[in-house]
Amino acid sequence: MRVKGKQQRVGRFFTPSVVISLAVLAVILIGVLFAGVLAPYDPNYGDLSSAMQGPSAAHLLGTDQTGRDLFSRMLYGGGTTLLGALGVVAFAVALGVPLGLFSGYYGGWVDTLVLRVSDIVISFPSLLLAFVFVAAFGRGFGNTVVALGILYIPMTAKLTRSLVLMERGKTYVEAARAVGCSDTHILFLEIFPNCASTLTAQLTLDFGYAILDLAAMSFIGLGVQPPTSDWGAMLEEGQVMLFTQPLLALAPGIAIAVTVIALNIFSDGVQRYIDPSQRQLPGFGKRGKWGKKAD
Amino acid sequence: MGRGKELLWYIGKKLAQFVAVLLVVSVLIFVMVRLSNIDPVAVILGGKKTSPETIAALRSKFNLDKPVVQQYFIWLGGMLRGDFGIDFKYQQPVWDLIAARLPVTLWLVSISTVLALVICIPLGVIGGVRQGTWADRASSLFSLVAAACPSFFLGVAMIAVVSRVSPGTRFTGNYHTFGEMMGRMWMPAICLALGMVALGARIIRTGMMEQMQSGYVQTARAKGLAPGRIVLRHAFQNAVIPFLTVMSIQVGSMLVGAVMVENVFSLAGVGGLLISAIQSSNYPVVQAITMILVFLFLLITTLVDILYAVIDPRIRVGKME
Amino acid sequence: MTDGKLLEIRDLRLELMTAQGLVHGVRGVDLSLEKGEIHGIIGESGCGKTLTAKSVLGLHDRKKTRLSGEILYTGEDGGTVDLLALRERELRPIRGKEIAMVFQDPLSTLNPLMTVGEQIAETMRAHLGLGKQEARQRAAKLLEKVGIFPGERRCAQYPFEFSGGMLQRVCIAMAICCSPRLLIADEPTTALDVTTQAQILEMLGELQRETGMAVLIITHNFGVVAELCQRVSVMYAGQIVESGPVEAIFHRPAHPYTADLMGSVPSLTGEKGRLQAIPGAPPDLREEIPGCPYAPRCGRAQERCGNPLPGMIQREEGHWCACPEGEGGRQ
Repeated sequence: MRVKGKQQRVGRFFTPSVVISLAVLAVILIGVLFAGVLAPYDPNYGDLSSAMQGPSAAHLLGTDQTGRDLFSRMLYGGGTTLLGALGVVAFAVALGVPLGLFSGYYGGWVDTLVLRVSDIVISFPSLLLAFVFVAAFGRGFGNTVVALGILYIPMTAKLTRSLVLMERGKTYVEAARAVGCSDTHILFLEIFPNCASTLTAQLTLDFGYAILDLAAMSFIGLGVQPPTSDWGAMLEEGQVMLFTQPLLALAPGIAIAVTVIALNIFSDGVQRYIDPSQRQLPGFGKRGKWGKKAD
Repeated sequence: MGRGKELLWYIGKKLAQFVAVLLVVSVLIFVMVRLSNIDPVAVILGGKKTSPETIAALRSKFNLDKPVVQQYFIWLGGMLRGDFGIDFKYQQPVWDLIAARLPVTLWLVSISTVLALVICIPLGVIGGVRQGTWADRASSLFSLVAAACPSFFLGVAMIAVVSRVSPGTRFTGNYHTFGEMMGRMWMPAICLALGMVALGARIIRTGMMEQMQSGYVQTARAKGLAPGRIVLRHAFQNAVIPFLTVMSIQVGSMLVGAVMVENVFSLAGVGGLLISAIQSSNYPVVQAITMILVFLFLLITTLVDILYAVIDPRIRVGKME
Repeated sequence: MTDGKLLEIRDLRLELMTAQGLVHGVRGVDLSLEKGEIHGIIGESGCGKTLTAKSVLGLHDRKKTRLSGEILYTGEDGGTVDLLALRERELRPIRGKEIAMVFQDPLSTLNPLMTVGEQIAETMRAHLGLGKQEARQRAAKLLEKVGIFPGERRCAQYPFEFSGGMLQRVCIAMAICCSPRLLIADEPTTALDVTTQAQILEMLGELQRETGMAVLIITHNFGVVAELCQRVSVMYAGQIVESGPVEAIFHRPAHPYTADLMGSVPSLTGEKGRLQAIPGAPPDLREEIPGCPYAPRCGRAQERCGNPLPGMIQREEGHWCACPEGEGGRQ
């Protein structure tokens, strides 16, 4: 049986910025999911006779140095990038959230252990640990996703933990215990849903970071391995052709930036919905008119 | 008297932590590398076939015939003396390989950090104190975009733009004077700095906004203090603390971001060495560079922690954890 | 303005933009203060007393607040100025020097990263042009004046090293450091325990006697008013409903609200009757209230209470009441 301890929400979720960012993300998502249908060419097939062409009716974004269609490569590459980023976040959530839940709820040695191990992981700057992981266990997309996932576990766990610490003292938890709910039940069915919204906002941000990190790994050759390609690897390849065919590098780069921006705006919108104090309030403005409070 | 002692005690604690974490990290790096499947001897030989005696000699030279734990301590002891072992590819002392390139990376990261701080602090302070102006909105927008662009993409884009605008700019080659170095470094420095500027400006801005609403800023106003003093002495000092944490982590990101940017701008830094070492399974180099980078990173975070205690007396006493 | 008057608030009206809508926080307040007078403003939470107090020094949130009316202040030289018409820059020489303020929660009022001595000294350096050394020395002496010994050593300590009561003393020292002619204290003892409250009040009284400064105390506690004030104004729903000498208000409350308030406060001496809570709740200040704001809860409300009131009526010498009925509340 569930004791209802949900929080109240006030106000609109679908502000203009949320709607726009969702729309952009939807477009990207559709393009990537239906790459098989939407892509006019095989991304890996290169027709040398039509190499290094600019945008045209036949090739929306042009072709690269081996005649592969850039547009098709963008669609498939995007799939790899987004799937990989999703994998990273999923891995981090699958391990980090339970760790955070147990750590926050039970405290004691579990908590200390989780915190100490987290400290060790985050004592590696940025992607360095992923570099070592890949160096040790071999390059490859799967390894990179796991390596990045490991990097993201500490912050996921710590966030979950602090949310649990906040919820732990609340009355509904006591009530659930009084009614005889088991600890696992309380953790996963009572406390976790109340943390879910904040976690979602953070995870959306993390998804964006994962895209950037994955692109970085692929850029230096440690991520995706040929013939598979993703936006990061495409950027690296396009670098060489920068002066003759800039689109080869600019297209994946812009795609990454736009996706991450949309994710950030969306996450911001979720956060404002959750935390009323940040929501927009009309003010008097300089001329006494109702204006909107700044970001 | 009591004040100074608290601070010393705190510093001692932080230094001890520094050393402890560094040790654990060294074990972790060592273990991870050892866990890999690659046979070091195969890497060293590079596919050449040789006699068993040569193989045995090589194993001995690289300490591979000794127990793993002993190998670790040999490595650790060596590092403390500045000897990072011999690399697999050239059979040269690793330190020699690194030392030639480390200054480039260090310069790059230093210049980027200074650049970033000089830009993001005023940007954030102005944004926080004067919200709602178009300058504030513009800088928020800028922050958003800058944070979403990978630094290497920025690099590529910059090269594309700069070469159009002023053809003849050199992107490769060596430099000998400080001026030449700056000529080569200003673009990669901007790329690296941008991420930090975006994040830092936002944090300072949020922090300043909070501070300007605080009770003591209201008191300062009620006391009739000059706005400059209120903003700097009261608001900024309180806002800077969370800023410092994030910034120290950002410097870590810069250390790693330097790897990408060095690639784009063809700079002979430690980054390129690390990548090629990973790709050629040149473990001693990978271990060494990783240790050095972690060392630098931890050093910075420890120094920042100590800086906190200097700024905020409550931390020395342990009132804020 | 008649001589002797230090501060005169005329028809102060304040509108505040909040998340719940536009609130008419102050709806026509008139108040005057003589030199050296100790005046209390008493009322329940949300009646607008803090908003009024903050408006004097212009500490309201300028982006969210609209003000009208006048707040006339007479300086040392006899010249009068309307504080509401002044800009931030012009208010600065007055703040902390002529008019000073003490707030409710001392811990959030002080900067945790600066020593207590420094926070007192900076005011003196800003207004009196003192050098660092001299300001420091004076700060130490001020601490001792408010009962914190040894001044020198305590000056070098940080707010977190003081207890609540001591911190409030520090805040008071900070407020009086430039010898202001008016001290505004917004619920100065609310955050403290009863014993400390008494000490602080006593100290305030002493300081006032010594310096001759006027004190405007905002509170919801009758004990504070009884202990310290000479005159008191009762506020309800953004308006002053009654104003007069403390003795008159306490023993001969003219406005029904005041009288009902008296009836709801237990007395340690005197008759032991039943405590009468006032039924209902204060009005929603988002709405315009044409007539008497207390009418819905008043035991003596009549038809005409819904219409705009005639204004303050003098009952006795210096004792004014907004209610034409007078003679107290529920019988």
